[in-house]
Amino acid sequence: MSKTDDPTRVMSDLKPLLLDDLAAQGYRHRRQADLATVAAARSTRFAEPERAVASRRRDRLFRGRLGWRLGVAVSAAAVLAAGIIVAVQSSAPVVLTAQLLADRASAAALAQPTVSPGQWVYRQIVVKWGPGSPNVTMNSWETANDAGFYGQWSNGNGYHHGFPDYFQLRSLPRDPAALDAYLENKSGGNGAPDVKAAAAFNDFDFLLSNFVLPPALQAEVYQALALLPGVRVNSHVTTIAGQAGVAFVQQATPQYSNGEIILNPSTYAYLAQANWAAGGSGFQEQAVKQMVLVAGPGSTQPSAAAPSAAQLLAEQAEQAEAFPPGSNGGQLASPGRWILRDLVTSSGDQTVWATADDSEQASYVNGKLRVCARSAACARSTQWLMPAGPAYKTVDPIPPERTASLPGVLAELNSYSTGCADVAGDCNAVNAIANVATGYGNLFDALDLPFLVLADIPGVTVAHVTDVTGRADVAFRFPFTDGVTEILFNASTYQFTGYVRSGTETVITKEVAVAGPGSLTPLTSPRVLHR
Amino acid sequence: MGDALEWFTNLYDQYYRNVLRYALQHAEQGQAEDVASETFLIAWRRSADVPDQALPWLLGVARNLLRKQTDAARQRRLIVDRITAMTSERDLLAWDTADHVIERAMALRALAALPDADVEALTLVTWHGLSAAEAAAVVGCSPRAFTVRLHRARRKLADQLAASHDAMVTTPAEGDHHEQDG
Repeated sequence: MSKTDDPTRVMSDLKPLLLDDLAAQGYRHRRQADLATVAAARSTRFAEPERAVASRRRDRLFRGRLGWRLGVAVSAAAVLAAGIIVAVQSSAPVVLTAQLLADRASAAALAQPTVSPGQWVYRQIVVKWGPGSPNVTMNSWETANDAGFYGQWSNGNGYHHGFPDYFQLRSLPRDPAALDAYLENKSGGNGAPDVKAAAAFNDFDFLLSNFVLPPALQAEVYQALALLPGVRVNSHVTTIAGQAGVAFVQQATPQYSNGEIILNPSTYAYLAQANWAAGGSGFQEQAVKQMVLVAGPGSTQPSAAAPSAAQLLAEQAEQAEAFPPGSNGGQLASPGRWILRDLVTSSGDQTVWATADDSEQASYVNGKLRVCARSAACARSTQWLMPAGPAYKTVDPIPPERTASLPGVLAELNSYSTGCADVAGDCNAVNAIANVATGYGNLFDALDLPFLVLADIPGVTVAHVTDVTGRADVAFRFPFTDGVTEILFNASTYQFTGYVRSGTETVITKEVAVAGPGSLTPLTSPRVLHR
Repeated sequence: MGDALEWFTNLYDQYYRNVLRYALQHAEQGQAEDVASETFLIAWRRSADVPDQALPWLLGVARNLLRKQTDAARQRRLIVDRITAMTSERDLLAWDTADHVIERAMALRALAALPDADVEALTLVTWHGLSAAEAAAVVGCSPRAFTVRLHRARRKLADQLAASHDAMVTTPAEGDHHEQDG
């Protein structure tokens, strides 16, 4: 009898090893967005006894792709009376209709300056996650193009999988009625008219609370809101942050709760979003207390100065590192995973195998594969990809909330001795970043905000260059006399490409996960830096 | 509310990967992640219903979501197809170092000969570490019924493996191929 006769053992050995990696990868990929989603939604566990209503309620803040599909599958049991625009403020001399509010809000939006794409926006929001829960204040910084995010995550900012991103904003219809129709069909599917309208209201809410919209689009959104059936106005509301406001109101459908989009009553600036289920249960709100254009992440001082070329490059590089193009199903770099890199340098080419934490390295010496661990005697004669810099600290399973300060990160990086001369000019930090970017399988396992720091190095400039492989790159240039004087990024994808150290340029032309030293076969869905 | 979020965060950190692993057995990465995320959103909205032993409940929700999306015809062969798709070189290396007489591809073929419900029963216990009672809660049958199903599934797999093994021994070409690989 052989061991194959033990079906339980065979079954357990058939479990693909990749399964755990894929699960860890998905966990990492989804955690922040999922926690942000529920933070803005409402639980039944610790709430009042309306749980039957609340649990049937389509959560209007959930925006996962699947969520949309499920949302539209529910049939509308009770259709509310088709909306007539109603004025509700009896004492007001002028009746504020949805259309009038839309006209005023549009005019105010059009008077706003256009925000340049890489501009950092500081946002302080106040969130109430449910009735009886305390107001929580959250601070975040993001760029007005989704390239950068920093600070505390909430539903109202940051990375949203699903719909839409800044890039997609450009393709939205340029006419309010067409925009309504587009969003009603996109998000409301085959639902009844009130469901479609509620779905579109939801999207407008999302657009206004998540993006720094171009003025024309913001004006269009307000016009489109007024055209939605069932939308009315409440001219006296107070946000959870205590601000007086006027609101577009959408009444509940069986799938959507009541929604409010609250604007400042005199400037018509966007203030808050609120929603609650029938009977007032499940009330939650997110109010924008501050929204200020600033010079960079961490700053709260208003600054409308357009971001510098170095800042823009740093933001793009961060984004490319955090969400590499075509990385779906890619490999997570656990510390022991072997990575094959092809390096092209101005003084010759090289193929190097290294573990993701660069604790072991292998390459061919005189036709023989030599494998060396950092602890071994051969380590001294090995040219390590990551010769000096922060340790690899696997952030899996819990990705860090990125709250480190840029000056703090810079100071830490400067504490590594990398052998360069211009220590006062931050050369150690630049060298450490180049080392980590070259030698580690996952940059964020070593560094928070790795590339944003580079934009703050005194004397840094940005140059468009052609690297040793003939490819167009964009480079940070540093005014040092030795060590790393350039850090290169692909000019179209902004992925890290290489560096110039002591006059020698090194470009990584291939970076794939493999089974072990000497292996040339990429593991599934390798992350390819250069195509 | 802080308590609720903390409870949820712990639940998420503890079980998200388990749920995703399960979903990956039935769906591609993107869809599986959607299902896992939706499962936890449901857990949040219905958190009063989530038992202290949460994993079987979560897997049950994920299972329902997957069933909603996958028609029966496509689901029939899906688990084995997914296992094949996720099999990497590392699995083959690991398989070779264990002292199996049978090739991994053959074992997979043996598994493919089983009804999907049997494959599911086997994976719930051997891959996801559930007890028979917990697995029964996931698939929505009595623990006793599940135990019977599991027992039958093991026996069917053993039969299939034995058949594959016999076929391999009596087919020299296959045997040579195995020698080369080893």
